[in-house]
Amino acid sequence: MNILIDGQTLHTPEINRGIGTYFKEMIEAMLRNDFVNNFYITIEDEKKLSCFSDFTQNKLIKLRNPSCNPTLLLNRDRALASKRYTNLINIFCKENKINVYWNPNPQMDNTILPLKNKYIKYVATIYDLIPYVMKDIYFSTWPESIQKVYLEKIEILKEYDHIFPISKSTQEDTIDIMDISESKQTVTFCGVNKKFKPYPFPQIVTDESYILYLGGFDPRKNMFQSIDAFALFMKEYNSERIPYKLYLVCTLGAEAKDKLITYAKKKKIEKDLVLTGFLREKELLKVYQKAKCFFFPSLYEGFGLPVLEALSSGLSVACADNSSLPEVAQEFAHYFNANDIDAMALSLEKALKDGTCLESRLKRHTYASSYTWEKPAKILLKKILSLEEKKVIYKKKKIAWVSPLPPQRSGISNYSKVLILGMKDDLKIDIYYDTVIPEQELIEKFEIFSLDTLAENFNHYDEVIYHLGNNSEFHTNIYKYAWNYPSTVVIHDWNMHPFMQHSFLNSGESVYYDDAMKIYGEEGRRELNLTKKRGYSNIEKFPMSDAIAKKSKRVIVHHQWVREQLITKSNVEVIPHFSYIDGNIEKDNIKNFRNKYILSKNDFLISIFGDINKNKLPETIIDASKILLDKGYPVKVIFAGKIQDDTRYLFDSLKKTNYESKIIATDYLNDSEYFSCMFESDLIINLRNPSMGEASGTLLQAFYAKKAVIIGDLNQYKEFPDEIVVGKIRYDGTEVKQLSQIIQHFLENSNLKKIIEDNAKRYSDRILGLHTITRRYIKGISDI
Amino acid sequence: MVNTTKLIIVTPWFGEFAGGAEVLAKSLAIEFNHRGIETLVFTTCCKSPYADWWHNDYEEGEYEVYGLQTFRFSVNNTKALYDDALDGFIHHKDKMTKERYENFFLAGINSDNLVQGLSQYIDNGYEVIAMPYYQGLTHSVVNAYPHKVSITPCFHDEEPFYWKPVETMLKNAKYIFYNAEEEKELTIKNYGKIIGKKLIESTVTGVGIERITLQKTTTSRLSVGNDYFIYMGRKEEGKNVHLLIQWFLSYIQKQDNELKLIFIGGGNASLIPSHKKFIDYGYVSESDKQYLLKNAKGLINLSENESFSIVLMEAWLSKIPIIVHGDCAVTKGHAIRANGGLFPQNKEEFILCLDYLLNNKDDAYSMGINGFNYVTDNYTHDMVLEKYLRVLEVK
Repeated sequence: MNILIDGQTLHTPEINRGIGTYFKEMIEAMLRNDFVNNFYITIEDEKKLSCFSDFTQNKLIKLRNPSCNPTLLLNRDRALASKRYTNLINIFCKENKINVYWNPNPQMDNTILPLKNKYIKYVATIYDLIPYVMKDIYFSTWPESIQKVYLEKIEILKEYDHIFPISKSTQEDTIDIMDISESKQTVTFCGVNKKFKPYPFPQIVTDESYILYLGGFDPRKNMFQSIDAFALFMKEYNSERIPYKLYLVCTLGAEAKDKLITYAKKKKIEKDLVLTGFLREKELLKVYQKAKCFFFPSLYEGFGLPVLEALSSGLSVACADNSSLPEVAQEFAHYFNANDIDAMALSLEKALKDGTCLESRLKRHTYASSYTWEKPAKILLKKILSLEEKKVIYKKKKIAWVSPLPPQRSGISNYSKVLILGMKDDLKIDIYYDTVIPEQELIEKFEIFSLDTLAENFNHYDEVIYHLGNNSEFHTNIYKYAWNYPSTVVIHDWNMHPFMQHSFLNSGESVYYDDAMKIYGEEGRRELNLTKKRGYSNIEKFPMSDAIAKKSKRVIVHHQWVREQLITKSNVEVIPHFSYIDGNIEKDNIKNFRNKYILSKNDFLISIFGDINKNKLPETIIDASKILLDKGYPVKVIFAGKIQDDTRYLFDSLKKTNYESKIIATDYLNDSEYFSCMFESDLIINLRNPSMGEASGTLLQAFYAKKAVIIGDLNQYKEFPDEIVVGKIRYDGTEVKQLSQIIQHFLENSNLKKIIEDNAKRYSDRILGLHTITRRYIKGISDI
Repeated sequence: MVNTTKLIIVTPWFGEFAGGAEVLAKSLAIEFNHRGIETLVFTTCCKSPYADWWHNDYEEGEYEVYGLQTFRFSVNNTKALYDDALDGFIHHKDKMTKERYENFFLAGINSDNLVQGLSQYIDNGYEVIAMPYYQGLTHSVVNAYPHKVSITPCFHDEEPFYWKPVETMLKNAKYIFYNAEEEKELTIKNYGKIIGKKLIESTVTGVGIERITLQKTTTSRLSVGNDYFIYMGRKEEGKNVHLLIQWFLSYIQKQDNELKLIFIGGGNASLIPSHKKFIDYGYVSESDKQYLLKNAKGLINLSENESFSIVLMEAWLSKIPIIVHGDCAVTKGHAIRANGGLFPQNKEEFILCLDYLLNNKDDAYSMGINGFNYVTDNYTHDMVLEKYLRVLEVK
């Protein structure tokens, strides 16, 4: 599905405020939790995306246009700006086949809300309706032109397909005021940043005892009454005469500051009032941690994130009982009527009496930290996806599966076996083999046919699924059938040129090669002529997967990056390679493996899996390992795979050196040794440069095995979130230095190891799990 | 959970001496107690490294030192063995034996009573941290209770660091806390492959340092203007004070200006030449110290034997730049990470550094500010103690 995110917020001051936090955190979390959908964003200038992580910047597809910046458009007539922006969004949607448009910031005056078109779904996030709820303070005091814009936006939003209020309280307002039915709404709460955590010691060490209020100089924040309440508390309720201070944390202009100080003087608490002004994040976290309690007398909130931050910092809370605050703080706050000074002072007393013992701080923190950004992001995404979901009438489809299978030895062969076993109850699958009859288990569970018979049976199937890879022995005949009897192809390697050259170029069937080059036009024809003269071709420039992709009815690739490279994209679907290991490893096998390779429990085991050829960068890995060994790090590096001729010299050169017993190549390993090595590894390195656009099966197995991995910062590998890997190596000539530094940092931080292993496993199970992937295959087949 | 952890800090001298390891022991014990984590101090009856290590200056028993519950234990009577080991170390290196290496540590300042006294606390909810590695007491405590006592070794690149008893102690230690990245690098380089994962995964905690808030530091009885650099700490050859004097003399011979070098702290006053450009104030009050630091052009510390260097941090808290020896990995590492000072390797570079700081006031000021941010961002008591706690509780 193609989802368009409105990026206007990036061009407004709101990007550094609460709305900006929501905007950034939700996008980050949504992209972290998805592998297959396309996320587009409107943007004037790519530099504006620097507030996102590298992973998110890479994953977002940028739709650039100067009019994406609302400040430029709103310099002119508002109605005209609105019209132009609506047109722009319509063009973006049409050109990119957008399914759903999401506006995460529809209500601010400095953004434009496009009108809905009938072709796609429109959704928006609503933070609050405070201007309307507190009409006397806001709406009624605005100029008529601003009122008009606000009301127009409400009317436009009513037409949208779905609304996401950020609290139940806001949802109630949208029902009452906007008259939007509950069924058209889904609440997506805010999350709290993990940086907010309690002071870690039983007793808080601080220079002074203070009550904390994070506000803003806005009538809604009720600052003057907070001073009244504090003054009353100090006079009437502070029986122990503790010299509390009231810390008001917010950016204040000179006039606002004067007003507050004057007011405090009037209340005779000017010496106790501390106006901190703007605080850097580090200072803010410290101020939260060391406060005696948190005070929040706001008159109305859309959510009330400061309350959650305070609870996450372990503070006891005294807060107003209005709007969303009770649903956010639940039983972890002392509530008061924000217009009742006496009640406010009394609640302060209760909150302070709650004390600051570590146990209660941790209890509050545990509650607040359950508000992660992952939860609302998943809810939002699920709802967005469901808006476009078609209802499928289930009928068991008949499929021909054309792929190498065990006992043939290849990654695709293993992949196919696991998949068809996972889908056999939902589909009627017939296996077509080329030269080698599949293993007994498959013969028992499926009907088996020779590839020669496919032509005559072709029309009996709902879909024929051909698997294409770079191994000429396994895929030559499959390619020919895929070309002559088009249906679905699974392109495992985006760059098929080595295969095409080897299989067809100088054979009697060079027509397949010639036809595949035609898609590259005049350039392709020139290259073809040159190739015929030279006997070889420019492999990197012409990947040769485009022709078969275009000819096929449906194309499956494992990565977004591959989809983006293909000339024809409309028939291409991304179904990631699953993350799965079949079977368990016996303890004895592990013990044998450890003995065979003399692994000490005091050593860190670093492994590299698969055939050891030059594009896996063994030289880089060996050089980085040498640096670590020279520095005294107890590492053992195992290359678990077959040594290819072009890399054998690297291992020969280690013989009779100090590194010989520390850097080992095993050559071919049986399954038991292979998986023993994987499960025993502390760290796995998976580098490839150049890459053929392939999905790395060993990488996905490593995630499944809950292993920390270092990968390359290249092409399809960029699609894995940063949180699930130890690091991504840039291929810029500094690989050895980067790799040794990343490994060193990783080895020294055992906590990091645990975090990454957990993240990798969670991602593997949730996003790349076998069940999820087989469902996607089945759904794709059922949709045909 | 956090509130069940109780600590014992083991250190050979406590109360009358302020060397690096003792300052750290004191700071850990006071600050942990302050934060509600019960911390006891186990030490000997010997009052300082300058006293007789085999003589009890105090009665054995319970004391209150700096407000801390402190237990003093009688020292062992092993002087002859130690003298023999020391003699071997100094005069007969080729005749050093396994016993002599061991006695160099174990027969030095040590207390069997203290080791015995710990037995009722170990396995009874107490985490024990011993320091520093150079003294036998630490070895005895760690080896008596294998994998139950942690150490803050304060390693330096010096001969005893490479001896077999250190390897034994590292093997037996529960956790290791390093004061600086460079100390950890040194330890990994020499013991990484022998000790393995434990050594690599150990934490660099640093030493907590916060400025003592005083009413005023704008005036002092010591009115010396501000044309001076300052050296703070013990005046010892081991701290390269003689080198500092040599290099500074070279500078003043070349430059005709009012620049002076002020010394504060104890140690051997006779190292300081009688020259109007060298002023030794000896021990000064906290407020005088802060006054002198604040008004200095910078702090100079050419010691090559540092495992952390609190004085650098104190200088940076006063927002002044520092000059350290380019061959001292630890202080140079601080200077680079903080971007808070210069690190000459020889006399010529030293002279250039002084000139640079005097002639580039904006840069000197920025280095001071960078240093201040470095200390407050990394070495507050809260940050350092949390690192200790995270290891002791989470693992």
